[in-house]
Amino acid sequence: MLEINNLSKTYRQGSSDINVLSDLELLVEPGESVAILGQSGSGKSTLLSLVAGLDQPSSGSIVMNHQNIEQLSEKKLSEFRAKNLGIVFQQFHLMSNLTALENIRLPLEIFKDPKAQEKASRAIEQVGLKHRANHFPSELSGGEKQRIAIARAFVVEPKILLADEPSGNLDQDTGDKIMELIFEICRTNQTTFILVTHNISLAARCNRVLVLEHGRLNPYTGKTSDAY
Amino acid sequence: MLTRLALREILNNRKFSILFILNIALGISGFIFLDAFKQTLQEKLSEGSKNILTADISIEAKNRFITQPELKTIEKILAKHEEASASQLSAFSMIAHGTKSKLVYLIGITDNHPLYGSLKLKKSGSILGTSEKAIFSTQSAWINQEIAVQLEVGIGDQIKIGESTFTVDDIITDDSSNTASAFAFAPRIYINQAHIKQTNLLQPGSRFNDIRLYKVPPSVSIETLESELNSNLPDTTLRIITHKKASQNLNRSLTYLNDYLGLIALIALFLSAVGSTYLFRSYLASKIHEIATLLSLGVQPTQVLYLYLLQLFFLGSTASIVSLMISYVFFPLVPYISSDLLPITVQPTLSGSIFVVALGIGSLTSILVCLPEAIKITNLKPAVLFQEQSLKTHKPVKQFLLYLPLVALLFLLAIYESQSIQIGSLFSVIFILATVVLTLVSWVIFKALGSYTPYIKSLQLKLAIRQLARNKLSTATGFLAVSLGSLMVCLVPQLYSTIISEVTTPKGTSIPSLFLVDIQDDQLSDLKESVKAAGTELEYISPLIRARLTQINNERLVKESNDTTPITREDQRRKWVRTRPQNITSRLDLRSSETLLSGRPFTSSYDWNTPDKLPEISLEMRFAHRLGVKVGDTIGFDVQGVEITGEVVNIRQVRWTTFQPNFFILFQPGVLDDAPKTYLASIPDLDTETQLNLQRQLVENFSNISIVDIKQTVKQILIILDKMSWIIAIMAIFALLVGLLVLYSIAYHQIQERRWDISLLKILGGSFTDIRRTIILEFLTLSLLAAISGATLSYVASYGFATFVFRTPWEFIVVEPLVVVVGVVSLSVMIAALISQKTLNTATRAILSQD
Repeated sequence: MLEINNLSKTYRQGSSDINVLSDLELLVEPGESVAILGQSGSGKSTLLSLVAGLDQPSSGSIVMNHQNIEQLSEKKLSEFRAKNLGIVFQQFHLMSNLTALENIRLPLEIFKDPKAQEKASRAIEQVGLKHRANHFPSELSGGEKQRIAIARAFVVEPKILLADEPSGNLDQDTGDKIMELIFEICRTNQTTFILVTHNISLAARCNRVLVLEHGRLNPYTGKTSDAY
Repeated sequence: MLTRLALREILNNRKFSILFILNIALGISGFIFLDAFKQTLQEKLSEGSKNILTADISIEAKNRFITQPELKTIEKILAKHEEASASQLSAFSMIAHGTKSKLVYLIGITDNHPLYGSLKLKKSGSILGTSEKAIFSTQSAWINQEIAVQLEVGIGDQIKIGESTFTVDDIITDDSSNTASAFAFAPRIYINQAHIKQTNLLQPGSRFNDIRLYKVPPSVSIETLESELNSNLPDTTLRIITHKKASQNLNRSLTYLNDYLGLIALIALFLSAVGSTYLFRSYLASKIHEIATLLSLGVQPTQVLYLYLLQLFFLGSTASIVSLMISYVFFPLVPYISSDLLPITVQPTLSGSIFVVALGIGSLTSILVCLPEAIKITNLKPAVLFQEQSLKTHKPVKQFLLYLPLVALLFLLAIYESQSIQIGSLFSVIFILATVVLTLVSWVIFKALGSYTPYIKSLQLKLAIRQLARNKLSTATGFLAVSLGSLMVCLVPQLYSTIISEVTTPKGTSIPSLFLVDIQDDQLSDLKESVKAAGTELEYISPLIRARLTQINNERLVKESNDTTPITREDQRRKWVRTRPQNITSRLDLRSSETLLSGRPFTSSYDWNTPDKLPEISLEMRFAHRLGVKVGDTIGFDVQGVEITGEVVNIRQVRWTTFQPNFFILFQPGVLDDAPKTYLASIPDLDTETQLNLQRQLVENFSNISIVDIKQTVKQILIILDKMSWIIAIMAIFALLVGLLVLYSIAYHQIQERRWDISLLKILGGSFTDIRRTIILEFLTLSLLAAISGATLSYVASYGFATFVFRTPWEFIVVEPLVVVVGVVSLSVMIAALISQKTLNTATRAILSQD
């Protein structure tokens, strides 16, 4: 499903080079959930950007659904990403001028899906926010916003879901509910799930837990009570 | 500490600071430019004012000689101060050479002319008051260069002036007293004053000026002399002019234009204020947590407010300096622009007072426009650090009151710029009304469009319309900026077209070829015969009787003290119209160029057997307004020594652009039949050859009659109008550019705020092209609707001006407004494309960065 080989990413900062990722390897099976732990500045966001096709690696390859994504053109990459990937952000990142339903419908409209309205209505119902369909993000709570973001991510029926600290901006109770929702939908849809988090107990809910250290992914060997 | 903090904030928020400064700077640079021009012009004219008048003080009698008692009074007052004196007799006259003839301004001088300044002649060089002058030893003349060219006459040639022949002794290359510019149509000729009699030009009823010029030592107060002369010479047909007043009079026409340009500059200032407010609002919103932090650290709300007002002060002051630099860049254009409108070259400079004005306007504007937003700081609670909160507004009434200083500033500036309470107030009201109307239009349009979005198939257009419909403030601001700028630029060519078409081809009539003035009573029948023999007819023959206003509604008019300088335009006109000699005519019926506005027509000729009944008077509309007189009022005249009082029975409108002879004051027939009079008349449209032949024949046989070539005059008027409209158009385009800068500021800020949205669209599968298209569609829609609204409102405004102000038929033009709309939309789209490109190129991975 997702195969990363010898992935490296280097940034130029002033006159020196910063090696963020060095010969990183990762293999994720279809339907598997993988948690990635790491300190601040370890390169988690960089890894997510590369997997999402939003950045180019310095070297190595990323093969998703048998497609080598760094060989795709910008246009093809956008299409591929839209059809195969869903992303849930810590900051929610809803479009402030669109209603809840319009936000969910947006990725379908980008690809001119004739059933965009139908699918979006189903998705908003699935996350329990049908009664908030015509409200703007500014009128929603943090938990509601994240549920809309989740609905938007899943409405395109992605093969892979990337989640970047999805409960990071929520209170404990709401965060737990959100994560429960994500895991539930991934289970139902057999979606491959990659979760970036600081929360070890949350990470432990995934099939596998990896740690990003010194530019590489290693299996996590610590206790669930450890903190990142 | 606060000052240091304020400066640091400005430096750390460079993009906001630069945009804010640019907005204010462009807005006030129009004012600075015009003020610098006005000041330099006044200084230049003041410096040369003695040369312009050729004296320190002049005493001028219009259409009569200065009487002996008056001369005695003058000598009594001036004798002890006088260093030198001179006199002039001047009159309009026709001159002829060969088959050609021309209207000129004839000046008969004495041998010590000029008392100040000099005349530069082609052959003789510089002529001063002490120089020997050939025109005193022979019957010869010095002619203006223009006459030499038009009559094809050179030194040594003969010219006919009145009934006498003169030899051209020299050609004037420069005359420091020549105040003629594009506004005058009779070039100068100098002859010996003693030779004027031979010309036989000064007949009863002729128009001429008898002028006495005096030079006094610098230590003598001109104003005191002026005041003393005015007190002892009460006749209003005798004018006392100091050299300072002479230069001010010259300045008047250009000052009017300057004042109206100032009103356009005010619009540019308002637009920049709109943009600056928007920028500051957004800046403040981004600073909410920092402000809350300061408050939580113990800083008082008023201190925080002071911090931001200090920033505004520094930004406004910097903008002032930038505006001075912008104005300075355009100064070299001034001599080129004003060359046809002024007899002198004006090169504006920046003086200390201009600098102070710039600093004042810059800092005051930036503080006043942003004050309603800044004051919200006092409402903020530090608890915002733990939650999401925006800056709350005060109650609507208090918020409204905060805008009052800005509105007051607008009013004051409008009155200051137009030098008229009436015009300044009217301008302010219309401007505020236009702003309100356009804002409402934008709300209605985009609300309607927003409700239509579910039916729009194209996602890019849908997103664009939603963005506009749901961001009311930024949409309204951008809409207002573009529509007001478009309104200004579209209005100028429409007004120009209306005026031009009225001047060149007034509806329902054709412009006469020639205007004849100073026709003596005993010449009239012979003149009619001569004109008939040439195959045409004399038209609109009108008697002209000279008179002085003596009283209005039984209140005697006294000569106003020249110490009181009129403050407003209205005061200037009122004073001018009450003191100048009046030309009156007599006729029963209205002409085709006249419309009765109020009152009733004359009943019949005056019946002297009914002495209780006052003679009936008709007044022209604008003249009546300046005089402050209405139907039913009585006006008294001194008609060559006879006092006549009449009652105003009607007010009429005259279409002066028909060039039919007409008068401000019309008496019913039978009242002035025995008064000494001359006549004026017109000759209808002729082909050039017939016109030239007739003109030459008239000059030969009726040498005292002045002939004005109307077609030539119209041509000159068109040149002046063209130049003026070009100047006004430049200012209007400047206002539009300010509007576009405001749009740029809004676009920049909006796209910056939406960078997450833009990145998100990319992540969700939107391509660069689609996202750019969305942004461009957004600004295309906004600018198109705004430009069309502005253009539409310009049609309404031009209709209003044509119908109610100029009272001329309205011209509907399409091309220029269309060009403006297309230009504005194109520029707006370019701005949007430029700004969006930078944001699109930013790495989308930034959206994922948690650091």
